Amino acid sequence: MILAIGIVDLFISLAVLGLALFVIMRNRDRRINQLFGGVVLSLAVWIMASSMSDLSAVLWENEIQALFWARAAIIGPFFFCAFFLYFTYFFPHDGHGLSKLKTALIFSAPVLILPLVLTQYNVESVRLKYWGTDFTPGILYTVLLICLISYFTAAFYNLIIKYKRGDSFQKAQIFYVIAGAAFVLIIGTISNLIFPVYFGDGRLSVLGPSLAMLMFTFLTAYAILVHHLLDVWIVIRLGTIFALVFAVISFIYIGGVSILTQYIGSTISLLAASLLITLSFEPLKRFVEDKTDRIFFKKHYKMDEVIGELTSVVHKIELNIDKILSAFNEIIVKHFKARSVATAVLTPGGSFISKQFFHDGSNNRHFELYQDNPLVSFLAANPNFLINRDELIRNLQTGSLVLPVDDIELIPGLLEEMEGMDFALALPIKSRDQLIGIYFVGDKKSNDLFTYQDIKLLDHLTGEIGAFIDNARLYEDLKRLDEAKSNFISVVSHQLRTPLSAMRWDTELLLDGKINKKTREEFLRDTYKNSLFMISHLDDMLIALDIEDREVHLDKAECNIEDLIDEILEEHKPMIGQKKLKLEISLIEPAKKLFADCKKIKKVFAVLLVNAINYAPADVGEVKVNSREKSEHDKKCVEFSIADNGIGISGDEQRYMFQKFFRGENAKKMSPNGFGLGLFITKSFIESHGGSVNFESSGRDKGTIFYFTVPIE
Amino acid sequence: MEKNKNSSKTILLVEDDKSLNKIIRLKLENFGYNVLLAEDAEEALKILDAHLPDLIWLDIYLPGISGLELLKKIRQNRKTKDLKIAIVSVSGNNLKMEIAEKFSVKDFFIKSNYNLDELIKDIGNILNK
Repeated sequence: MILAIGIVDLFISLAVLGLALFVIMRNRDRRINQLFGGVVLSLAVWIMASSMSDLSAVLWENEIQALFWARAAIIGPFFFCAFFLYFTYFFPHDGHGLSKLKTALIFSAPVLILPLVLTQYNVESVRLKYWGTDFTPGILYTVLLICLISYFTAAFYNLIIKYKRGDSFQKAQIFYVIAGAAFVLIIGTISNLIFPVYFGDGRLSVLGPSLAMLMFTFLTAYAILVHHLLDVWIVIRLGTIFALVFAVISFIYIGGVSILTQYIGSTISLLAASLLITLSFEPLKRFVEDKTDRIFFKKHYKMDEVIGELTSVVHKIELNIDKILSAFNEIIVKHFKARSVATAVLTPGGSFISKQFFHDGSNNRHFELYQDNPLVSFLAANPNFLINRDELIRNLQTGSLVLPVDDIELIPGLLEEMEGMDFALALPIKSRDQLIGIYFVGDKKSNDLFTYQDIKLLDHLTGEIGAFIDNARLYEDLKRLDEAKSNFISVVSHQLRTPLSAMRWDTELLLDGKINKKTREEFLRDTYKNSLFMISHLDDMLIALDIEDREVHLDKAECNIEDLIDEILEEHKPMIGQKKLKLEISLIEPAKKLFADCKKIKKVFAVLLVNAINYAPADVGEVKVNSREKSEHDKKCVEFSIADNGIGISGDEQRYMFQKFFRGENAKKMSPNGFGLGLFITKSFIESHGGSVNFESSGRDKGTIFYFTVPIE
Repeated sequence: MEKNKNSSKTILLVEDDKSLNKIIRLKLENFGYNVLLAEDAEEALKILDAHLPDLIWLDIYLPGISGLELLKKIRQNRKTKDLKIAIVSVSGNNLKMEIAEKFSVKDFFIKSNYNLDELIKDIGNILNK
């Protein structure tokens, strides 16, 4: 039992030294990492020396050796105090350092006591006990107590001041260090000072330092490594696995050798044991890995498994964005233990609306981000980067830039936005390198930082989401097109059959011959009008089919803008008059003429004007027609705009406006007889001229303005 | 002769197409009916508030409130729920089934299938049931 404790002590000090080495190797040039090495080294000296002293008593029963190691052990706590105080001046960031005088002062105590280490001022005498070495402390132990109290007071003072000033991230780091140091202080004082010195019982000193050291090293290493986004759990997990493998192998080795030696002699049994170790190492490691994961590291997720879960969700769930996002959120919350996750998806209006927002167990918060939001504009410009709040904080503090931020001024804006929304990470969701969404992840419940592995996983996830949104959109578009087509067929049959029915019944009446001349003329005119109506609608259909089949052919000539508009307005005056709409026209000089396909421009104008007339409210409606000169893509253009104060276009429908056969819900109610071809034709006519069509509407009942440009030449 | 037979009956014609409502109105009046004309659902509801016709001639495709919604409103109103209704539309077999089920309208006519005189006679038969 005692032997085991001694071995475990040695083993722990080795493992912890390995961890210290690892921290130092992570960034050798950083002062803080070196200092941490110093702190751990002193602890290791302390623990190794005292366990050697105990082993001397238990194993070899050698009093001289036990005395030597008991005396040597005091170097550890002295240097530990000094290194730790020194360390607090630099933690959590490498500062400007300390003056040489202060440094000398800090290290004076451990250096000055060095000549006294091997004298009776340190440990007066030792007594060998069955559990280890008991000793009578000398005057140096009182000095050590004073040192411990004063150094730790100063160190805690430093840390607390820094804690108060620090941001939340630094606070977390400092907290770990304070906790670690407090552990050492409490356990160390109880086991190696209070009990042996004041109660004369040194038994606790066998295990005390190891425990204290273990806690301190892990907590501090965590605080330091966290700074570099390194998951200390990975390190600890590997450390534990190797330690266990090592322990199992040593057990087999020692046990095997001692049993075999009785039968086959020591040389052969050593060889056999070595062979056994060589062969069993890999499977043993795998076995231990599996078991340790299951018992100690439930928190640690396996990337492959999470990716598997994500993939299976994609295959299982129907093509519904909300459902898939909510399933993804569940997985991420489960494995990351994140407080909140949200996906903001690009809307046709250009803003990003939160689709699924999980926050502390509920799903009911919502937000909307516009294009001028710093996060949106940053990710849109840099779709291959993610925004990490803690990274931003660090950049702000050290002035070193990791992100591709040209302008350091951007950082406070981004940071404010992230902190305001209470998210730790914002990852871009892309579709063909365009930003189509943002995935937000809040802090982990443990307050641990996000590791490289976490980010890799989230990157994979946002890739999946991007592809999924793409597919869902494509599917929606297809569905809509399909609906639009069947809608079109029913509208066409209605549209053509209405005038046809009227024509049929009118001619029945006309053929009857029993009517007077005035009535006859009236119904003949109706029939004529109906035939014109049918022709124009059939024309639209043919144009639309033509546009599908080949490029639009342009018959360019000089068009006089004023004449063109006059002509169109003249044709539509009756419609405007009937609805008692107010008409406002302002044409800006000097553009008078266009070189374009006048018929097609007129058609476009007619479509937009008829729409404005149809969708403006009767009696109080207004239609405004404007033109002005504008330069577009370095070409001189005339921009026409036709505005109404009518039903407007709702946000959801805006992205479909130029699609063939599409008709808004409002539009269908106001005027059930449209084909949904006008804007489709308009767009292709104007684009074939090298111009552009666009519209603005703030939503339902807020009116609409259509713009189109035509190059002058 | 037909005139006299129908002179007491009033038909509310709900039809938005101007040339259609013109010819239908003329023919109905020739048959001796009193015709109230509504070009959309709102107008029809207003008229129904003041007068109860003997039958409603209803086009199902209307601007604003659709013909179907109008039908629903008529059926929900205690005053008008038992009115005779003939739906005269240009298309829609599925629609026919749907309406027949929902609003217990059995008389559904497709415009272009009919000579107008025959259509009016058929509708006259409903009135005289």
